[in-house]
Amino acid sequence: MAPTQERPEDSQADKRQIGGELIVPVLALAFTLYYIASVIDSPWSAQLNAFMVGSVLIVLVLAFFAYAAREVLTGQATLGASNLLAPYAILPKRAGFIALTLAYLVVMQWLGLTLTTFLFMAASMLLLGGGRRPVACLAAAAVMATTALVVFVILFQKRFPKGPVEYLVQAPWLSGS
Amino acid sequence: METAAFFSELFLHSLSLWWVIVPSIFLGLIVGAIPGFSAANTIIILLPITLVMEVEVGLVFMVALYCASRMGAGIPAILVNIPGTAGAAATPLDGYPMVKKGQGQQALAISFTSSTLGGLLTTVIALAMMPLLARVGFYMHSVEMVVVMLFGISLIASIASKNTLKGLIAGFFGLMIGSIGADHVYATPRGTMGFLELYDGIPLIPALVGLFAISEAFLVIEGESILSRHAQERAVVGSWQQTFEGVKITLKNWWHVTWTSLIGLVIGVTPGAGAAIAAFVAYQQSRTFSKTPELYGTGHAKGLIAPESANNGVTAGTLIPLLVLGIPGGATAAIMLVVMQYQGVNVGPRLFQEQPELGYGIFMAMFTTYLLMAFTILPMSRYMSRVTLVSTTYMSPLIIGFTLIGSFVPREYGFDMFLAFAFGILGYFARKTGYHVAAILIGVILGPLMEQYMLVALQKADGNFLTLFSSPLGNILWVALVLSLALPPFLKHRQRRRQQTVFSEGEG
Repeated sequence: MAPTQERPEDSQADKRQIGGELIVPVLALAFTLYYIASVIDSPWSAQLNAFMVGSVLIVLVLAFFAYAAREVLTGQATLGASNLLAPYAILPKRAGFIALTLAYLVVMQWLGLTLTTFLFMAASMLLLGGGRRPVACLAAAAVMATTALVVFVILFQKRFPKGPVEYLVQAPWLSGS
Repeated sequence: METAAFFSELFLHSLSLWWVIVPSIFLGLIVGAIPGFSAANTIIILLPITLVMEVEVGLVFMVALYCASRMGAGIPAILVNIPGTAGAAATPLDGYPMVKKGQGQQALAISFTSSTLGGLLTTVIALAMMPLLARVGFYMHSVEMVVVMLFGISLIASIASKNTLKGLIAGFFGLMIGSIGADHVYATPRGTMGFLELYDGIPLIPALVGLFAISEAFLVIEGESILSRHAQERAVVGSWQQTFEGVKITLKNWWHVTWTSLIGLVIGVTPGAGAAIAAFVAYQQSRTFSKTPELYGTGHAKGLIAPESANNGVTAGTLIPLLVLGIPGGATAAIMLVVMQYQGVNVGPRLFQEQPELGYGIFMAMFTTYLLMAFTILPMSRYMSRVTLVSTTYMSPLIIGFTLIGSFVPREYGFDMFLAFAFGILGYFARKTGYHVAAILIGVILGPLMEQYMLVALQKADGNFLTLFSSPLGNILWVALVLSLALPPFLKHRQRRRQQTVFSEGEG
């Protein structure tokens, strides 16, 4: 059987994409250098970990960079990061879900635990489900938000950010006390 | 004969307190399953009630809650990859992969059975050898504890065996993250990025839920379910058979349960050491001495039995220094001490002379709790495992909401929720690019403890590193550590060579 002619773009696609794998080592290196800088003028007891653990981590990261550079230079890998983003079909949903999670944390201080939890749950479920079964999504969100209110705010009296629902619910309790 | 009569009477008496034990078991299970909640802070919240109870009833309530919360923490760790406490951090390593294979019911049954057996066994041993075990704490100084920590940390090397460089980078990165916070001697802030909230170090719950659960929630939306189609079919037709299978597997591994729960007991006896260390050390040892170490992390029953037996072995161990010496070995034990002192009960050797029915009765209550748990919790495994069938459309937002709220609970800082999110993103990057999040987590949990013991040891010796090899027990532990790391690869190499020789002789 004659060998098949390999197209250049196919061989490019088959190559291992190493770009995404560099994120954790880069973060580790940046944090270690910052950590060492933060203890450089400190007593030895504060520096112990920086030099015992940090120095080993720097060596490991540099070894990984050398390995990655060799892979790229010899044409066995590229600096692409598709393994981090794939599958692409789900990418908008995933990005939206992560953005909603961040928004949940930011908005909570103004709208309070219960209302924010309800809005986050409902929006996330509708986003991930493609808008299907809206009633089920709203019901599940309402159950979760109510559970959070009853268990954490009313029962265990945890000091979550308060919003309209918390003030509404706690008013009778406060007036009773 | 008299002793047997005394203990059987104590057993029957603690059985008569079932009306306290059973509700405490269910409360403990719920509390253990909520990330951020623990038996300790629930007991603190309910302290006013405990103080007005009769001393015996109050102590039984606390003991039952403590044991059940330990078991409860394993449920979300197995089903949805959310370890509720640091003690359950090693549970999802093999528990969650079992769930993904559609063996959730079996995994829960294994977890419940090994927890129960580990708890029962260590309680009996604690009762029989209390004075001897109480002395373990005296021999475990900072030098010995450094080696015990290294047993746990060396699990990073085992995890790294699949991709050494990546595994070690993840583990050492975790150790660096674990070093954040004020140093133990001069309180110099290190790596805190200016956040006051990080001066006490990295809070464990945000790190736990972020690395395991939040990253998982971002990943599982790729499919309709966390289970594969085959696993779904298997889970849908779940029958009691899977529960019995789980019990059978655990009973078949009775020796494994025994020695891993003993690791938990010994570590539990040491004041300051906790369930997280015990679980990681037990998992590491279990993997090291296994004939099939490559199966660990893929949903291997022994990988689930080891941490669950060990962290339940810790419960009996923690009570020994409290009752025999009057030294609380952990937060829950410290609260028990408060209650006992409030009620005028003398802890220490006098407790067993003046009120033996109370001293031994606490351990008997623990024994009865584990016994009752076997009958009340085990049948629930079939229904609990149905959680895994919920679509990721609902499951992922629920996991995110539940864990972010849980990460706020212990310290009540909004900052901790952002921290959990940041760990979630780090965990997502790590998982997507082949770095093991468990290696990062081991570093985060055990790194600060290791540093603390190391500093104490070095300070006592004026900075002389040779002090780490100055104690006889410490040296025995060093030899055991080196052997446990070096023997398995050596034996594997020898076995491979032998196989090659047989093969080449066969060809010749």
